[in-house]
Amino acid sequence: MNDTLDPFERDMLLETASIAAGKTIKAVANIIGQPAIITPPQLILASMEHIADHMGKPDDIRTIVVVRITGQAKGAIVLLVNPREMEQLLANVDGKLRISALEEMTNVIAGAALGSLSTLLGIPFLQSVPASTTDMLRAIMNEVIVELGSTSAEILCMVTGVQIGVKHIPVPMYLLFDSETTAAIIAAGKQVAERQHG
Amino acid sequence: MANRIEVPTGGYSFAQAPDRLVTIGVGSCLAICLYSPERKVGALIHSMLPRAGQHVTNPSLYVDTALNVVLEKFAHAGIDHRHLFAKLVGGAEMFPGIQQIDNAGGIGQRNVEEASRLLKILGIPVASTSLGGNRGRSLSFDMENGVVSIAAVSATDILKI
Repeated sequence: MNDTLDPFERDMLLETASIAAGKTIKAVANIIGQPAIITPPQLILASMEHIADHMGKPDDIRTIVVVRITGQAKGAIVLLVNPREMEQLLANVDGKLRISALEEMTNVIAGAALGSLSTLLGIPFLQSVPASTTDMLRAIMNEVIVELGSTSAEILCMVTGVQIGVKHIPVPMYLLFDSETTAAIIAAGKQVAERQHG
Repeated sequence: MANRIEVPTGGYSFAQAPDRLVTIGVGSCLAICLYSPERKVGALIHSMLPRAGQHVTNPSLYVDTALNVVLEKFAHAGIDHRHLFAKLVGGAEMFPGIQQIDNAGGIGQRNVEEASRLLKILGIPVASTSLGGNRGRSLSFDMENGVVSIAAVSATDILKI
């Protein structure tokens, strides 16, 4: 993969992210039982040491749920939420069960997002069980990222802003892919575009 | 007046008394603090991975190449690495329940093992450590005395090593 994306690749990846986000939002609304809105996806292509800095301040305290993408593709889906806002988001869930509820929500979101990408691109995406923790943003995210960066220094990050409920609680979703998977997604996307236009 | 110099992930910095080197959010990464008590000069490395591969764009990302670069700079400043001591902070497993992909141990553990191995070969004593667990740490390294102050989200007190 090149260090930069050309305009076609960028548009194609954004379109791909939008399709995944569309499936995601239905899944979120169904599982939470509250309205949800999304902001248009954004792309970040950055070296592994800089990805976490795009997500917030290094010492921001965040609850993070991660679903690793395994198999032929290598990546992760990450949901970030401020712990205080998580309490508001899941106010009608017993305190001890809130993390489990958030993990289940992430699991459903990941399934929806990866299922739509797999159908669109013809790439199988396998997902791990969710894992979660609450700590400093940089400390957590760097561990997620190094697993991708062990084989490549450049990481693709597709960010979709998700806001849930009447209070619009932000729960941004990040799709992270290593450089080999990004190259495979771009190649598959180009084939899809050729079929559609040609 | 003392300056506070922040070291980013995958970076390193040098400082001398009375300044402090600071790095925030060390999880599975490893912070390697190297200090010359005679000169009151030190360096702080914030590495993410134990060993560099073939295509290295940023040597500070890796424990092995970062140590090489920093020790060369100490040598250029006339400081023999045998007059340094080290303190290690980090090497946590932020998701302890997750089985690692290659079953070779967690990244945090491998970072610690690589640093310990190289420092032993180089003859640089490890004076103290705060390693492992499943919490992130932020640290401040004081060039006046080589003391490292460590804060964690779950801890109420600052740990000094």
